[in-house]
Amino acid sequence: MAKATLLVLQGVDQGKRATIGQQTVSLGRGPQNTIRILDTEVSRNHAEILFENEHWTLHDLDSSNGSFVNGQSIRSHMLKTGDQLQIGRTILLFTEMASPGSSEIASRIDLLSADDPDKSQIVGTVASSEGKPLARQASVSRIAPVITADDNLQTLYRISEEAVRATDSLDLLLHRMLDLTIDAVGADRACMLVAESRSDRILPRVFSHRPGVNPNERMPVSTSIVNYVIAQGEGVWTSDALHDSRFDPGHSIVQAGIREAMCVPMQGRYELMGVIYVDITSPADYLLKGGAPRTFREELLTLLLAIGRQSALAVENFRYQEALVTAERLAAVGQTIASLSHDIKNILQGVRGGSYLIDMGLNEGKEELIRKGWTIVERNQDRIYGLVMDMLTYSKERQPTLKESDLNSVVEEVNRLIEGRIADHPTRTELHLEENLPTTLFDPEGILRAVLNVATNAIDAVEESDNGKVIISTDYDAETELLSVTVKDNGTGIPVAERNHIFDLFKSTKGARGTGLGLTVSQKIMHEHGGEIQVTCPEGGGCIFRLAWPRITDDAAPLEHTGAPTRNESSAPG
Amino acid sequence: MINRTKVMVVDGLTETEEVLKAVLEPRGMQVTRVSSDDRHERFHSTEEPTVVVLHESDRSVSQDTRVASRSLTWGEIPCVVIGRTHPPLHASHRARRYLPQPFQYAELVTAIESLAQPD
Repeated sequence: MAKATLLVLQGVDQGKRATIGQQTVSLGRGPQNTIRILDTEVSRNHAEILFENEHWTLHDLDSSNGSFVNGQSIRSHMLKTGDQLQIGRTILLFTEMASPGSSEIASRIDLLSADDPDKSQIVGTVASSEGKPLARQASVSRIAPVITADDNLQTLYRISEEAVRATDSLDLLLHRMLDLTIDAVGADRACMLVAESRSDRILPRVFSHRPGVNPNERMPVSTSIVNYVIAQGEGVWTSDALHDSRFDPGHSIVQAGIREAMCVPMQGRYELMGVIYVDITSPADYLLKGGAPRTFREELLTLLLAIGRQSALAVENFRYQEALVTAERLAAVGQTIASLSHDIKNILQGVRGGSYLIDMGLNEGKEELIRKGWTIVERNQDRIYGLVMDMLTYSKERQPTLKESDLNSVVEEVNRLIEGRIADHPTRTELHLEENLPTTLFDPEGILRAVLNVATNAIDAVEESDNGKVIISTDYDAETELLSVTVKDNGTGIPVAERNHIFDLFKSTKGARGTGLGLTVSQKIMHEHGGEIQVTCPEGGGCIFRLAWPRITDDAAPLEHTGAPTRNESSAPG
Repeated sequence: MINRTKVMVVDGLTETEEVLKAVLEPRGMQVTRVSSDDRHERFHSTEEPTVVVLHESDRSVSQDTRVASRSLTWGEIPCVVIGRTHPPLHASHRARRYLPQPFQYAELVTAIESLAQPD
């Protein structure tokens, strides 16, 4: 089944990727949309993508601010790989996932050895250095008048634009460049043989052809020519017309036609990345009717050399980026494992402490020790529960499960949970709940998690104090339509140097008690709701965390009425 | 006046202090804790401990606190270092025990008691 992806390049959901199939996909701010974009510039029902005639088409749904593809305002637009959709301030990259695999490409190319009956001869060569000035200056002095410097400039401009276009598939990138190449040099078919990144082998990687060319016909590629190009670093132009014994009018040409080909190296900054091979065929019946053979020219070979250079640079850049991403991913995995191991080790240490006291209490018949130990074990159960829930929330690409919910009930539930934690402490909590909160949609379980993490930090911040106090309040600003929960503590505050990093993953200022996940998760949940967390640290000490998000209402949305969630309440898949 | 054995825990994990208080205080020892938030002030204002329990691998223990505690523990005060399996190079102080983490509390209690009552 055909599939495509939409990757958010810019906007509040930057980095998110959605896979779309043949079902209609709706985009908008409203909660009923398939892809919900929490952007105030986006209409509730902004646009939709339909799969029509084997293509995806973006239709604007009379949105207030319009829909754009590659910077152009559109009403309806057939999407192709690499298109950038702008919806409000959000930019999404469209990429079709269906592309032929390397084995399929290989089956469409005949790699002919020296013994195979390919009678082509080299009729012209151009050193690879000839293409570089063209690539740099986009002008050619030796070129025939048919191909103007302006044509070359346009061709290289488009090729360069493709080379730097955002993509996650090298094959798709090269395919687009090959299509432009076919247009630029007037070829019938083209393929790229690209060096594998982990070996020296140069293998067919991308194939394309002009519309009207029989797509089932295999493209012959002479390995002798390819080897010559690789060895000499020259672009060559070959023909089977002048030196082929079959070029005998009235005889074999009827069966064969005339075929010309060009092959150029893809010379990168440091090494050869492969070759581009293009061909053109004048069919026999066309020649018999007196048509002039279609031929390549030396100036096209020079242009193709410049394209080869650009393609090589694109391959090099893609591989560099790929290596960078892989290295960063490995580093992130390592950091994740190290951080989680550290957190789990601390929790295990706590459980051991509780178990030790329970064991001692049982042996000595001291109920007080058993109670103390059990309190420690329970606390660490809560910690591992919190860690697991934070990991799940952080790891999932999810849409919040919006329900009509009572924010005050959620905050009261948070207060119940943290009061259980501070039962043995002098710390006090206060709730200041706004009585006239409007009806609104939000994900009650997500908001509970977000507020609980912030409130837990506040409790930890005042743990050492004899007069620790945490105030949690709710509010609604009718003017800005923002709902908010504010958590204020009178602890020691956050050191200035650490304030810019409190939302960073695995950065904790709480040491062994902190996982470095809590605030990151709270921030993620806020972003899912289109909101933010603001932090202020007054000079006299303490901290104020304000979680604020826009009130969401939608008459079209299916509503579920709910009170505060409980731990046993399962969340719908995101 | 009886001189009580004073155990100072340099640690962000409250459980170490809680367990040691529950076990050692009935045996006549006094357990206090220095957290990363306290930094120098509280550390230096506290009466000199008999034994220090130092978590080397604890992310919360700030560099300042570590330096401060190390300047004491590397000097005269017996110390249990949690998070290390080997003594550091050039370490010559004999009044030191090393416990890898996660450790068993029975081992920690034994180590503290042995350091608090030197031969």
